[in-house]
Amino acid sequence: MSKIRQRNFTFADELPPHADGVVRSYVVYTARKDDAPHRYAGYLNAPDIALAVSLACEQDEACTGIWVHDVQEITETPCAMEKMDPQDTSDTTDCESDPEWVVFGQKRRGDIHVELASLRAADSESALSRAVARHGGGMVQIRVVPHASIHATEPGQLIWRTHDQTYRMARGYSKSVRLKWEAVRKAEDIDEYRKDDIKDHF
Amino acid sequence: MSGAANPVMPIDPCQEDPEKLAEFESNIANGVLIEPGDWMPQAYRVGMLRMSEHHANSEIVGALPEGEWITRAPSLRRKLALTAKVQDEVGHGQMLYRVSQDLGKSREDMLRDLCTGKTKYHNCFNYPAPTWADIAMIQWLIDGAAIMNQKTLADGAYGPYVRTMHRINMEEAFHFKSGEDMVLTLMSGTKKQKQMTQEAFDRWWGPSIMFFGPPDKPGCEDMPPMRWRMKIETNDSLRQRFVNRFAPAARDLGLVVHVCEKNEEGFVTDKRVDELCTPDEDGNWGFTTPNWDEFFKVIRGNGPCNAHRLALRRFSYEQGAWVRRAIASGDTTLPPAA
Repeated sequence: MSKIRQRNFTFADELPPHADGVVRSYVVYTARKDDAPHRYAGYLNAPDIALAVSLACEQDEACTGIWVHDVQEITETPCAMEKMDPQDTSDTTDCESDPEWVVFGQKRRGDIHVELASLRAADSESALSRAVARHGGGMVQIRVVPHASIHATEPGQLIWRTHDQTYRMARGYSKSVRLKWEAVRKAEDIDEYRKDDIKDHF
Repeated sequence: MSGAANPVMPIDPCQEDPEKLAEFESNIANGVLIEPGDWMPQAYRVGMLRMSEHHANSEIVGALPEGEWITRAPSLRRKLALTAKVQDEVGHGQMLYRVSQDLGKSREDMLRDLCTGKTKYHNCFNYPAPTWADIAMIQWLIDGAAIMNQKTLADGAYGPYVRTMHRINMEEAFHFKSGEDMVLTLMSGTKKQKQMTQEAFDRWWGPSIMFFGPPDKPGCEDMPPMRWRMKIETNDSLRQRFVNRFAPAARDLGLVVHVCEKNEEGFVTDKRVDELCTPDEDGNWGFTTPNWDEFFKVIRGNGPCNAHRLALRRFSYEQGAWVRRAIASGDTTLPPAA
């Protein structure tokens, strides 16, 4: 055991004060393939967008692109109980001089938000109403985020480790574990035991 | 690894607006997931916060006994796997603190309350892990128990917690399989390895049985934590399923379930075979009731490793203060001497 872990600790009575400064919350989305939509991956805290992107790139799920934006940039509808009805989609004309917005949708309560499209609108209110009209059908929630506030990773910026990483995945053990159990247990007992395994895993 | 607490409901739900409460309960009964922007009773918000904060605390404290063994892992592959597991556990803490933040408490306050003992973490992390076989047992029994519990929590009603449980469970599957592999390897090894594994099993079987919390009170299915689907299955039902799964597996591996007496340091001083540990006609395996006095003693902070775990967490928090300052305000004043 390391010396630090063996030592007896002594502390001042009070904890050190809070760190001053603003740490903001950022939302992270990932795309698994070049042409795949970006999907919500989680939140993280960072003092600025640059560090937020660096931290986001630390995640282990291989993907081709990562988007990060400040949580404050979100404008969204309340999360509805029922899916929204499809609306009039005839209004498809955007003014090219308006800023671009990215539209995300949530299909069911509890689902993650997935990139649906982009559009142009003068402000967040009109962007949201256009997004609901064009893409709200079948969704319980629509979210718009200014395209300019989203920091996207450059192609080639993400470097995934290519060596064998099965040591950190359940499937890296499944076969050897099964063989070892078969040496000491009947097949039906193993099957009964494995009913409580997690089926959806890396 | 988990340890979602049994949610405590300190606020009377009857104080809430009856119409809104009725709509909330109807949504939950219909399987609707609650999202952070929805109306929710204050008791639900407080209960969910306590549950996810306790779970987050357990993730980061749970990494401490395992972290001690990274440098002493018996092979490079085991070292890589244990390092990845510890990294996963701390990541689970990050995700769960984020869920808790949305429920109204800052992460800084949560970390400080953990260091000062104001909030708790799971009892099972207050026991010693003196051998490599203990690491195997933690991953097999404790992570196995955690998966059983978290699979039910993933069917809960609070959307952000449910999403987090799905993600965490996918990683827990690796922790469990890796532990299973370690136990199977040790039990097919030398006599000395088998003896070491049995001794570790003796240390961890009791805490595993207690993992699901104290016996349920009558009528708990109708109380808010279960009525509001914060908790899906009773403690006793989860405990029985755990014993039904692991007692026969242990027997087939050549391990014996013992009823153990332990000293203040958490080491076994006396043991006898648990004669109750056999299947009944319904296939339910019996077990000797755990020592609940020990359980409550550890909760109150008097377990074998409570003081050391908290001290190490606080040491880590104080040593990390300069990093937080540097990130938040660019102040790179050096840390206090270690």
